[in-house]
Amino acid sequence: MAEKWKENLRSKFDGYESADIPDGLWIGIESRLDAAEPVAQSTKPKRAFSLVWSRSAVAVILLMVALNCGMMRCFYTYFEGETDAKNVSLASDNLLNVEVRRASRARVAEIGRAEIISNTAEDEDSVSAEKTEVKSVTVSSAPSQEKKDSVVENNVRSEKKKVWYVSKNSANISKTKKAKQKPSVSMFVSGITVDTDFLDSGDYYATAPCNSNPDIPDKPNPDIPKPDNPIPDIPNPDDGSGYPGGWVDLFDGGEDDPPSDDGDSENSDTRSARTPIPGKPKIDGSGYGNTVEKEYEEHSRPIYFGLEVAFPLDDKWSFQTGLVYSELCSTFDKGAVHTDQTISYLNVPLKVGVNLAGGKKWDIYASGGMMLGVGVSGKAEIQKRLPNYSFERTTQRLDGIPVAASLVASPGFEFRLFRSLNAYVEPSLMYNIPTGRKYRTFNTENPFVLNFGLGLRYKIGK
Amino acid sequence: MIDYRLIIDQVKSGNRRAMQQLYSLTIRYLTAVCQRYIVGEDDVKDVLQESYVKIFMNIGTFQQREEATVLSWMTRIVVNESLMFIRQKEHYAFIDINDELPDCEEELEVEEFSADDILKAIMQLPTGYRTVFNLYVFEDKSHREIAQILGIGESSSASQLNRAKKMIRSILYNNKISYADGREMERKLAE
Repeated sequence: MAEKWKENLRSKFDGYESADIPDGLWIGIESRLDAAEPVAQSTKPKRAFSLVWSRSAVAVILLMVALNCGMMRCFYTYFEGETDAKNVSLASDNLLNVEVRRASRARVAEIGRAEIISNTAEDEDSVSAEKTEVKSVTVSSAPSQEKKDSVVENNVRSEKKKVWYVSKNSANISKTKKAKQKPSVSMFVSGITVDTDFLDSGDYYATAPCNSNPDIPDKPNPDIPKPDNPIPDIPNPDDGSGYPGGWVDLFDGGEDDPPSDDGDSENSDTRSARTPIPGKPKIDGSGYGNTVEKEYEEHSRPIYFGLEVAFPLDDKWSFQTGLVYSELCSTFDKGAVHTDQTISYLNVPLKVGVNLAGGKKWDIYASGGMMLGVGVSGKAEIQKRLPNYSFERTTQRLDGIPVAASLVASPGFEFRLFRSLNAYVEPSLMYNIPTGRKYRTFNTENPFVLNFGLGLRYKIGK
Repeated sequence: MIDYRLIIDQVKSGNRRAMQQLYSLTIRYLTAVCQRYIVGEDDVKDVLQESYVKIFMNIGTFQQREEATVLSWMTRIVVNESLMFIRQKEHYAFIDINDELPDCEEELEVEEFSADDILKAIMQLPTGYRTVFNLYVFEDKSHREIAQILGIGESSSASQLNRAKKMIRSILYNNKISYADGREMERKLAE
C-alpha cells in the first residue's frame, strides 16, 4: 500500500518521451564515433570457404567415415582373429604377441604345447609358421585358469560356425586356414577394348572426312561448264597417271558403268561398285560437282571408370558390386549430316568372385556376373552442311536411352603394393545383351567384347 | 512493438545508418530519463552524447534476450552517466542529513497530474532530492543501495526521499515554486 504511489508514478512514466530533444546531438555523437576506435564494430573474419562448401565438405567426410565404420563393423565379426586377439589380450602378457593370438584362435591356449606340435603335422602350410612360434611360447607367467577359460569360452562363442575347435582332451588342432578374406574397395579404369568382330572378313566402315578423294572437287567451279556426262574426269590408272592407291569406283551402276574387265583380269581396280572392296571405304556416288553421298558409322571403344566393393562371403568367395561409369561415343555420317553421339551410362556390377590361388603378396582370382546400366545422359551434336557450304550445328538431347545389360566373366591377378593397397589387372569378356538398338553404340554393334582393366584395391581391416 | 533485434545486429556490424535509426527511436525516451536527473539543456545534451557513444561502443557486448532489454540496458547507461555527471559536477548535491525525520507514510498522489507536470516538478527539486527520488521511484533502489551509490547514510536517503515527496506535492498543487524557491524551501526544512 505504501508503495502504491511508487507504482502509480512509474506507470505514468512508462514509455514517456520528451517532446524536445537536444539540437545537434547526433552530429556530436557521430563526431565522437568517428574519432573513437571502432570497438563495437565486430569484423567477421573472412571465411576461406563459404559456409555452404564447408558444411558440404563436413557432410561428405562424415558420410565417408560412417560408411567406412559401418562396413568395418559389418564385417568385423568375420574376423574371429580380432575377437580372439581381444580376448587373449585379457589373459596374460605372454598371449599378447601376434603369434600367440593366432595360436589361441586354434585353441592352443587350452592345450599343452607338446600335443599341439605333434598333431600339427597334418595342418596346412600356412600354419607352420604358427607351429614354430607356438613351440617357443611358454606360458610361464600364465594367467589364472579362470582367465584362460574365459578366453577360451569367448573364442568358442565367436568361432562356432567357422572354425573347428579343439576340446580339452583332444589333440587335434583346429585347421587354421589361410588368412581370411577382407572386404575391399576397388577403383579401376578399363578402356582397352577389343571387339571380336576383327576376325570377320566382312565389310567394315571406316571414318573418312567428306571428299577425302583429292580428285573430287569440293565445290563446283563456275568457270568450268558442266559437261553432259556427269562422270568426273578421273585419270585412268592404266596410263600411269593414276593416283596412287588405285581409284575408287564412283558409279553405282547404270549405263555409265565403266567397261568390264576385258581380259586384264590382273587389274583389280576395274571392279563394279556393287562389289565392295574389302578394306576400302564404301562410297555411294551421286554425280559430279556435288558432294558424294557417304554413309559412315564409327563407334569408339568405351571407357569404364568404376568403384567396386567386395564383400567376402567366406574364405574364397566374395560378392562384388559398385558403381561404374561408362561413356559411349559414336560418329555417324550420312550425306551432308555429321552426327557425334555421346551416351553415358551408370552401371551396377553384380558379380561373384573366387580366389583361385595366392601367396603372401599376390592372388589369382576369377569373377563373373552381370552388369546393369542406366543411361544417365545422351546427346547428339549434329552438323549439317548447307548448300552454300556453311554449316548448321545443333545439339539434340537423347531420350529413352535403353537399359544396358551385359554378362561379364574375368580372371584377375592382384599384387600387393603396400600394406593394404593392392594393384590388379583384370581382363574380362563381356557379352552385351541386346536391349534395343534405338541408339547404336559400340556395345550394341559388338556383342562380344574383350576388356582390359587396371585398378587399385584397398583392403579394409587389419 | 519495435523489433530492436535487427537494428541491434546492424549496429553491431558498424552500420552507421542503423546507429542513427536506433538513436532516433530512443532519443526522446532517454532524454526524458536524463531530464529526471539533470537540469539544464547543455548538461542533458552532454550526458546524452556521452551515453550514446558508450552505447554504440559497447553494443557488441550486449546479448538481447527479450524485446525490452535493449531499452532497459540503454536506460541504465543513461542513468549511470547522469549519476557520474552529478557526482563530478555538483559535489555539494548530496547533503548527508543526519536528522531523524520519520519516514513519510503519506503517499504521493499523482493520478490527477500529467507526466509532464510531474516531470517539471521533479526538475525543480534540488539535485540531492531529485537523485534520491529518481533512484527510489524509477530505479527501484532500496535506501541501502541508494546510500551506497551516493555515499550517504540510509537515513539520509530516507529523509531526502520524504522531503522530495513533500516538495513535489507542494509543487504540483501550488505550481508556483521555482527551482530557487525549492532550494529555499530545502534550506528552511533543514533548519
